[in-house]
Amino acid sequence: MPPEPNLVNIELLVPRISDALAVFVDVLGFELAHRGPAPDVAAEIAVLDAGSVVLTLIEPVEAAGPVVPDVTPRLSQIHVQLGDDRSAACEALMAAGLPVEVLDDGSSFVAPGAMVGVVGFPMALVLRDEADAG
Amino acid sequence: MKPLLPPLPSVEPEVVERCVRAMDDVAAALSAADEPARALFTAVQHRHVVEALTTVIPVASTTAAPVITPRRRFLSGALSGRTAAVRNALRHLDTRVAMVGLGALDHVVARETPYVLNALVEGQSPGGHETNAGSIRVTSSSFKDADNDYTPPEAARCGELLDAAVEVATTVPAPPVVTAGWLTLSMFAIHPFVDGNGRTARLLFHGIHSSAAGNGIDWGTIETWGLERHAYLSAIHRSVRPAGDGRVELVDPLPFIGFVTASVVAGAERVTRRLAALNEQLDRSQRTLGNSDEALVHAFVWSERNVRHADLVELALPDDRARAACNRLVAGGHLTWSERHGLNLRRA
Repeated sequence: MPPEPNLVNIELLVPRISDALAVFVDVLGFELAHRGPAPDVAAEIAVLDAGSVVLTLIEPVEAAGPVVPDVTPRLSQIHVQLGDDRSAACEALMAAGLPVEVLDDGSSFVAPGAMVGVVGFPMALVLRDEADAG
Repeated sequence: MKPLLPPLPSVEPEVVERCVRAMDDVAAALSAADEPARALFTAVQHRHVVEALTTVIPVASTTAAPVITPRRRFLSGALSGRTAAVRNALRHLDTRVAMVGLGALDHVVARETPYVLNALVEGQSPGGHETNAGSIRVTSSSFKDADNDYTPPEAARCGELLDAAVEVATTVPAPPVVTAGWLTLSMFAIHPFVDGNGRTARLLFHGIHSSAAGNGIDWGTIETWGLERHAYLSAIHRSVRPAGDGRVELVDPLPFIGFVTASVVAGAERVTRRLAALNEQLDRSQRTLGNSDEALVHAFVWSERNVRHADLVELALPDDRARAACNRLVAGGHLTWSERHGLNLRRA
């Protein structure tokens, strides 16, 4: 059975949140649900309600150094929810020739470097169970 | 006055013996395999070696990886270019190893070999920028990793340091695993080229160590460096750190050589398990399809998954026979074919 993917979050790294809001909110009409400091990275974020998907804009705070100081810098991500069988989807991705990293906390992702060959630019593909959502 | 180089380390004889025995075990296992199994193994293993030499992140990136990691797909343009270039450089080395075996050359590495290998891996500018492939750099260089503050020597010294290192590696009597590891580390420390130093250094190791292997190829070591990338980088950093600001004579070879000898043994064990797994699958395929091209292609697809037409070249089957085998396997319901995913086993 193929997984039934559900796109739940798109994180875009942007140079200036205000410019992005000028288009996404002011022109296109997305609702700004939250704007403020990011809880886990040195950045400002804006969270837009985009219907069934959350669009998160991240503007790194340059003076604070790397966005994620202890790992590789945060890049744009899309978060895909995969029903209750994430491992089957991970297996399918590996069988297709993509490396899937599984972290100690059980979360998994295809690293930005590997996604370059899929979409043409570095962007992490984060795989989530339904239990991860929210 | 000869330039000062890192010391050639002394390695315990039993450590060297373990490496030799591990390589001999692979050679013996390959000799015992029949021709189709050897052809299958060579095709699958060649892909693993090329990916590792290129630093393509394997589909499974830990030592707990399955015995056969699926072929990486969706490579970026730069990585595809690097992979193709490394394949060409590997062919150059294979030829030299064969010539050494025939007695036509004294050593697989000559003074010009690092330059030739660098020209081959960087000649098509796979990174999209000019790197003066095959030429000694004329600018300063640095290791890019943030946790390593070693600075390679100034550009003007690189040529004589590199030439002297090759001379030591090809003339001073020492076990091949030691000279190969030492030259690789010296290349890292000197960093003589603008780009491709890592690929060139790994190719040098592969060439020297392969020429000493019973079957003419070290199938497993470089792959282990890819699978244990963190340990590989850590060993390099620990070795070059004492050299600080380009004083290559202060490089401590022991951390890296220790990693190398361990990876020779681990790599040999892994490829021996892989050969056994491929043999078992080939047996299963042959029981269904007979001792035929179809069985060979079927086992290859089982191993590689998502096989494209171009990949079949690695099986060394004539193209018309490979095509015919694929068509019969698809028509017979053993394989599926799609434009996006190539050949795959038909799922039950």
